[in-house]
Amino acid sequence: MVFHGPFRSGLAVCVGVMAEGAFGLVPPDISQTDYLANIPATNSARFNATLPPGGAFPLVEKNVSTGVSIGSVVYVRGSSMSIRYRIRNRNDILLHVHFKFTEPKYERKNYPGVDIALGGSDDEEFTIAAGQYHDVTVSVTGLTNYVTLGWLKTKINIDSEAGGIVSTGPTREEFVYLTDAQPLAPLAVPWTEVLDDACNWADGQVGDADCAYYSTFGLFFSQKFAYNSGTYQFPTNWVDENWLFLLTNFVNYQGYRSGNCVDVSAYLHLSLCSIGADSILTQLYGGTQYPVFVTNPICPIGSDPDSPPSGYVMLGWSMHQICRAQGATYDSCLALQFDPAGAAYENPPAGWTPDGHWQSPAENPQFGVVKRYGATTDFFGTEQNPNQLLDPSLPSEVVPRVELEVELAGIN
Amino acid sequence: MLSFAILTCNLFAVQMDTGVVDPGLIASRGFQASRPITRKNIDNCEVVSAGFRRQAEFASIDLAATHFLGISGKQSFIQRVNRTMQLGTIADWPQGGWSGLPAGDESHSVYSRTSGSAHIYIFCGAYVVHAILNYSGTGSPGHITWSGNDKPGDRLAVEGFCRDILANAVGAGLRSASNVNVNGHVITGVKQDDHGNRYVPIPAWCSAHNIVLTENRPHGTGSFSHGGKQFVLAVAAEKIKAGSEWRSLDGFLVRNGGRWYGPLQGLEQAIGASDS
Repeated sequence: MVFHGPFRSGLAVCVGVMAEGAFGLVPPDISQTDYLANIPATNSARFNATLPPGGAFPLVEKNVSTGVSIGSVVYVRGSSMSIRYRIRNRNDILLHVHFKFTEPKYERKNYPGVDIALGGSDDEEFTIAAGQYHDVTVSVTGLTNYVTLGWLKTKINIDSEAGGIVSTGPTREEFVYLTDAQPLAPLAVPWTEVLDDACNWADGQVGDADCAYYSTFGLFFSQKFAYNSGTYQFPTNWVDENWLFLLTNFVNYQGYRSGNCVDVSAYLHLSLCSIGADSILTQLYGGTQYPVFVTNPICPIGSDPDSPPSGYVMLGWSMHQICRAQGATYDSCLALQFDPAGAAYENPPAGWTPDGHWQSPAENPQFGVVKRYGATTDFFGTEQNPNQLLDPSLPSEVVPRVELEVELAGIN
Repeated sequence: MLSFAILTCNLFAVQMDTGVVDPGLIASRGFQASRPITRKNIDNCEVVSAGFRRQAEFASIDLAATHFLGISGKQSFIQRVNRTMQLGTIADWPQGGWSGLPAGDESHSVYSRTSGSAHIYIFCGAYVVHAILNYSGTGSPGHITWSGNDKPGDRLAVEGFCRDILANAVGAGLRSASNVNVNGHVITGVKQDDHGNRYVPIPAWCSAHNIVLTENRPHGTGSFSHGGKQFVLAVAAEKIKAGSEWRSLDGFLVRNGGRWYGPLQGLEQAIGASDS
């Protein structure tokens, strides 16, 4: 039997075999799939849509009559998931329908082929009057209680005298992001492009600190950013002067984006916001004695931290911006060769104390981001030659740290 | 300083609208809109912003035109800009754009020698336009190749887009005025600013002087020969180049209703058609 358009669309992800029905009758189909109590999400295209509805994804994730097919839903980890299927009878006679929903499973994107069994099944019989529909709500329990992303897989059978659908096994029905908590502003309505990163980096984690820790590493090694050290004075490329993150153009890139610490920390912050992990953005200044400071050798994001001293440079900065979560510092912009105790590290600082990240040990600093003060004249080269005139032989010195909390105004 | 502030507020006391950005002009360089042009009020500033993308190279332009609502608006803008920089302030940047032509009453530009990403700010009275040009990179850590087949050309084009936006924003403050007679020719469509200074459509003014104007619309520039000298004009500039000499005008070269305007008295003096 030929698959009719609406029927095929309504079950596009439910690969099944339609049973032969009575001649001339159309099998019942799922005309709408509505994930209930999920977190409203959006993406760059919908956020920027000029026509209604705009903004967040519509409440009904799949709707045959409107052609809507979102392709992803968002829940907080460990949630129960309620799914309402609207089963429509497109015939002019009443149908007796047998609906079965069994074997819900979750397949994590990072562990393909490994199914996690979920709870929830439904087996009911009902009639649908001619041209009418019947709603079935199925509850799925046992979603993993950690941040992750992957597919909800289900097995749905619908039988009637007009034929139906016979699933041969659980098939991927919907892509599901599981966040750590309710997403936070400015991504309280998270973008799926950001969730792709955030849920991937924090896959398997729980809580602000662990999500921030793994996201810091994830972003640093994601080959998403390269520090714009070839730019005169390192301006931000993705946070504009109104402190709006230019997310539309950012997510539509592939590969490296040029950026500074403001860009990198802001994207780390956004990714954490999208999964509900609480973090703040903090700018660090070197006190008032001199406006600039010299870093210890750092490996800026976009370089290879594994073969020091190659890839490590000393830079002059007047400010450095990082993420804070639970009072600890998370700095995806750079890798340090040594940890605060002087052991080989060669990774981005994550979960470090503010003091350890800035300078360590406090009285006789040798490690951390900051080495010493610098004179303004050391750093302002020319546009044609922005290389800074740094002297690595000068000794380290104590540089007080002044902090300023900053906020993104939104996204654009 | 106070009198300057009052002057600029009066001269440009018009609400900036999203029409200052011309997507068609930007499309001439292969960039398509990636998000709608929007207008917001932020901290004593009116901001019109827009995003564009050239899909083939994953190149993008983000534009923001800001209208300062008084001195406090400009101060807050400068403070926000400086907070985004990891070293120094906007005042430390090299002055001027990439074309070498004058732009606004103050301009700064930089670009990355490695990634090609670039910024330009052009200030003009109560307005500033900022553009960010970005490319995408491929490769492995520390060995990145950046897209962009003609980065210098892109920068010149982006400067032209900024000039155009600024010229539209400033030019929107002009009002209709009576016709003028130039070199025996009647010029229609004349505008005037709040001080009564007349602005004439540049093509019509050129025709009146039997001047053949060559315009580079994407770059916002034009040139012509007259009296044995080569002249160069650029929108959003307050000067005109006569031979090797830059001559000041009594107003900016602006756009209004899609047409290019210049201050009549300054143009006449620049080509020696009237006493200076």
